[in-house]
Amino acid sequence: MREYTASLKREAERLLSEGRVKTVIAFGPGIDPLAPIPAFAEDKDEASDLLVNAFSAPGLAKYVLDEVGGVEKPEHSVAVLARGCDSLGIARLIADKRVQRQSVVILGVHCDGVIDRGKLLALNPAFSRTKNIKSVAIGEDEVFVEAELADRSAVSLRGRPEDLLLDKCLKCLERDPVVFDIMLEPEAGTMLGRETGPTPVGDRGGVDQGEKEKSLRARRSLVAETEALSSESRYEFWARQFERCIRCYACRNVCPACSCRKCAFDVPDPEWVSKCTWLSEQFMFHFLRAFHVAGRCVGCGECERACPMGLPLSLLNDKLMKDVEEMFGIEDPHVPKESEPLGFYSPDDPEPWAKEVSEG
Amino acid sequence: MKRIGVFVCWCGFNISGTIDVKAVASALADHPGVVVAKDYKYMCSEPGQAMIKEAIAEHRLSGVVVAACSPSMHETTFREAAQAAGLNPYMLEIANIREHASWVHPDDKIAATRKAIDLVKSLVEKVKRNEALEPIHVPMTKRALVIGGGIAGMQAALDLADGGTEVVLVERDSHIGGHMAQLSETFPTLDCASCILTPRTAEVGRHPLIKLHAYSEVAEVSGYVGNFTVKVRKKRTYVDWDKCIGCMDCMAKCPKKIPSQFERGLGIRKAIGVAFPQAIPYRPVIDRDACTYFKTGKCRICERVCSVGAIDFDQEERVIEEKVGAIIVATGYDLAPKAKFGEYGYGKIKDVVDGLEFERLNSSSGPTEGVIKRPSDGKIPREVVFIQCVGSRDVDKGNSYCSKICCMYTAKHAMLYKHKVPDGQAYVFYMDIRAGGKGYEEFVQRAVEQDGVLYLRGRVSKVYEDDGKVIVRGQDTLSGENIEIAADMVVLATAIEPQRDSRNLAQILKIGTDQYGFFNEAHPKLRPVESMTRGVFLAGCAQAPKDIPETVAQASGAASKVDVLFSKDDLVVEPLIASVDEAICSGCMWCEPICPYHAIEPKTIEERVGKKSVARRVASVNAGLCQGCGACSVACRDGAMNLKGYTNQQIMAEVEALCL
Ligand SMILES: Cc1cc2nc3c(=O)[nH]c(=O)nc-3n(C[C@H](O)[C@H](O)[C@H](O)COP(=O)(O)OP(=O)(O)OC[C@H]3O[C@@H](n4cnc5c(N)ncnc54)[C@H](O)[C@@H]3O)c2cc1C
Ligand code: SF4
Ligand code: SF4
Ligand code: SF4
Ligand code: SF4
Repeated sequence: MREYTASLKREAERLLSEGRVKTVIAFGPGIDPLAPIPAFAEDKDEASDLLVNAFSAPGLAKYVLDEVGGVEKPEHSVAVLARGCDSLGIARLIADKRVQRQSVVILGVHCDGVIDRGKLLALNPAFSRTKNIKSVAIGEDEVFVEAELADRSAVSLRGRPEDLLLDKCLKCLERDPVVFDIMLEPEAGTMLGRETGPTPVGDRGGVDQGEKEKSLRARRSLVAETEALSSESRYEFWARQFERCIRCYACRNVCPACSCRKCAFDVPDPEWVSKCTWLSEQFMFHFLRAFHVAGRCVGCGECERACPMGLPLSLLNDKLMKDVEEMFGIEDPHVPKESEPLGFYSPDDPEPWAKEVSEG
Repeated sequence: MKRIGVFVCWCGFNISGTIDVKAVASALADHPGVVVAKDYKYMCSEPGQAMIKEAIAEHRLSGVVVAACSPSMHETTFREAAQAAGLNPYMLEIANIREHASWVHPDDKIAATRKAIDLVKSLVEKVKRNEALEPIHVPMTKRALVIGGGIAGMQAALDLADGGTEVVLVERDSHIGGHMAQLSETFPTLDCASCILTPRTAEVGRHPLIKLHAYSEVAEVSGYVGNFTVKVRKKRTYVDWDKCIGCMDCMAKCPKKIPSQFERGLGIRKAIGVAFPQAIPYRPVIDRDACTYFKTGKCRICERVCSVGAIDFDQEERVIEEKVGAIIVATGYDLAPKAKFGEYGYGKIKDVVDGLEFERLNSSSGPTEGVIKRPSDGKIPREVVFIQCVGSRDVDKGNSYCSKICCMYTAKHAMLYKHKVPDGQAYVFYMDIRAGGKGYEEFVQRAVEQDGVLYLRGRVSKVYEDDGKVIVRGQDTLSGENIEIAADMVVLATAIEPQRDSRNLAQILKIGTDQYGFFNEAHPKLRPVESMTRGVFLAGCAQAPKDIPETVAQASGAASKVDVLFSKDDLVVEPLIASVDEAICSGCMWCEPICPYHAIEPKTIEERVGKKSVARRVASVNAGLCQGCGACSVACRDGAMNLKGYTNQQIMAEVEALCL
């Protein structure tokens, strides 16, 4: 990720001092430099602490709902930093009428991917003592990280993207925001810590259809693999996954397509899914979650990133996304649209499932 | 405490032949909440119903399950019985153990009995969660819209208006009467069409309860049964009809002559004027495409001669709004277009005409004043060939249906021709004769026997012009002989087709059409004058080809359906409709486009959050429009949308009773 912190601060300060927004949502330093946390700036001081860097893992879309969601005329607006995946989520909330477009100022940035702290520490545990990130370069085939440790010594690592980036970034569908108000400018000519780091291995900037195709292919081949399994092995595969779920609901809480005031899983009567974790209830929970986002999932991968048990939730989402694409002929099914394939009545609905059933 | 009664019906042997009804009753007697379980030979009989009523009183039942046949058979019977015994009718449910158990498992009595027990148990669990529901009353506008002013529309309008209902009649043409105004005489009595039609048109014209919008079209319809809002587009006539006194000086003085559509191109009319002398309303229209002034910017003679200054070249189209509670669609038919029948020379050979053209040639007020002359040279034809089923019963031309009236009017045409030209010869090519109707068969026989019309069974293969004659080649399938007739004139009984824009109107009205474009009735046998949309009724050829008597009967039927609707104080709708739990609803409006009946709209509610009041969007269901299909409730992710009588809680209870 190129260096956007300076222009982020500048815009945040301007928007706040002009009274245009009440809050700016971006990142701030956490306890661990490798894990910046979502931050909410309400004045100039707080804005000066905002940042965004290659370790900013959490998606920010869902926070917009908390800040201005649900009401017809919110008293104030918010500004939010948005990478491609964040912007998809925000677009989702807007399409679902949970957030009004005019009450959010979207500060777009281009994103080349975010480093997976866990993967990094697994490769070199020394990074856990990081005091300062000195330099990061994310290229097409190589990622480089260099940090200053607590004892002032330096440590660096060079590796393949698949070994260092978040899984969701390896399947990224949009590197640039699909909706934004202001596109932040990267610091002229600088990549984070360029002066000390290696020459970046190629700038991944700009809308890159090739990248998207690659991501789509990656997603599709995983789906195709599971589709190819016999139904018994497929059942076993999913049973193995669902068994591990601890029903923490992190996947739901983080999902921009899960924005209901009262989630069906929290309704006591009727009890759609019981709180027990019997396998049948686990299946029920996961089917419900997947079907509730079918045709609306934006492929942001946040659910999978948030899951503490590492369930392959994107695989399930991607399967449904592929079905929607094929059955309804929807292009870019991950991008929220005016009218959604599963969201209207039409007497000539393709109903491919009905056909399948009747044709056996 | 829930106190449920279960009543198991034997349905004679229908159920008890397969299912052990005693076992069902005793299994249910032990089910939690069931305080009485009985069986009886025929629950729907008087004693059976009495048994239920008594039990309701005796055991103070809070709910009832009748295990019997399909709810579509006797749900109403039993619910009325429950109501008579003081129980809210919606506290009674039917467990269908006939169609769903005994009839489908005749060979496995044990399994069928087990299934019946499960079905009844699931309904008991459902009924425990039933709520008392009351029918919903929706106010209505007791005013009707009739679209189309042919004989169908006029009949319906007059019936309604005579009964005291206000009617808005919208006619696209400049006059009412429809196709009947073009007919000369009518089968089977051969009385003159205008003699029976003009008293009607005049009555419509002067009826105080009929508001006629001629030269107008329905542009938009919103709302629902009892409460439609209709936008009527009043097309530009370029004459102020309120000022106009109907002197027709303008028509007399207009220098521009054009072929008359009413005369099907066989006569002429002026660029301004009325289509025929008895036209109602008797008010002129300027044909913009023909008018010299609109073409060249010069003329305006009509404006000069009009003594009341009614001509208005700058007239604007107007859209007016009418509120009505019911709509009758009577837009009639069109004849199959000429272009379709090149092989019969139609459209190429002048002396090949269609049925309506023949009507005009035979009409005393027509272009030939009733003398049958052929169009090419005005000679009286000596040999006339009539061809039936042109474009009907013909898959290649797209119409596999029978146009129903052509057999009859062809016999009429041949007869009328023979009456006027007794020494001429009339031939009729036919596939078979369909003359079902009072006095119809006799009518056709008269044509053959008294008037000597020659009927030839077979299809015509070719029609071409040769030396002033129209040569008709065909085969007589009875004798197997090839026939060639050198005729002076050929009359084609072309297919009756829907109005070309019927699908468009269907969309405006949200009603269905068949594959051809005729409007669909709600049920072919039991609901022939209703459409699938409540409050929209059908009459005349717009629904299917038919003759005048049948058209009039259907129109009167539609009118009385409207009367039945309006006979109530307000609209009573079943309470089995969707309802929104506003506390849960996220206002995502996912349900809105899913509703096939456009019954869902967003609404804003004010809510107190802490000390402040905030506005929040939620879905709201229009009780008049909702048909209770349940699509929305399935689509709603958080379960805010629930279908009364089939709530998520009820369905889940049923499922759990069946599965756990
Ligand atoms: C050649 C021929 C001879 C016939 N002879 C006989 C006979 O002898 N005896 C007999 O019983 N029947 C006869 N018929 C049948 C008879 O014409 C029909 O039964 C009758 O006209 C049907 O009436 P209708 O009102 O349904 O339709 P139509 O007469 O077609 O009237 C429909 C009216 O609706 C208007 N309209 C259409 N669309 C719209 C719109 N969108 N908005 C507003 N207005 C609209 C039209 O302008 C028209 O005025 C004959 C038919 C033909 C073709
Ligand atoms: S289901 Fe997962 S990938 Fe899809 S929108 Fe929700 S969080 Fe993103
Ligand atoms: S985040 Fe993972 S563990 Fe938690 S509920 Fe979702 S799938 Fe289960
Ligand atoms: S009823 Fe359900 S689907 Fe409809 S707006 Fe409310 S939450 Fe959305
Ligand atoms: S039940 Fe059917 S008709 Fe009624 S509001 Fe829901 S979708 Fe519309």
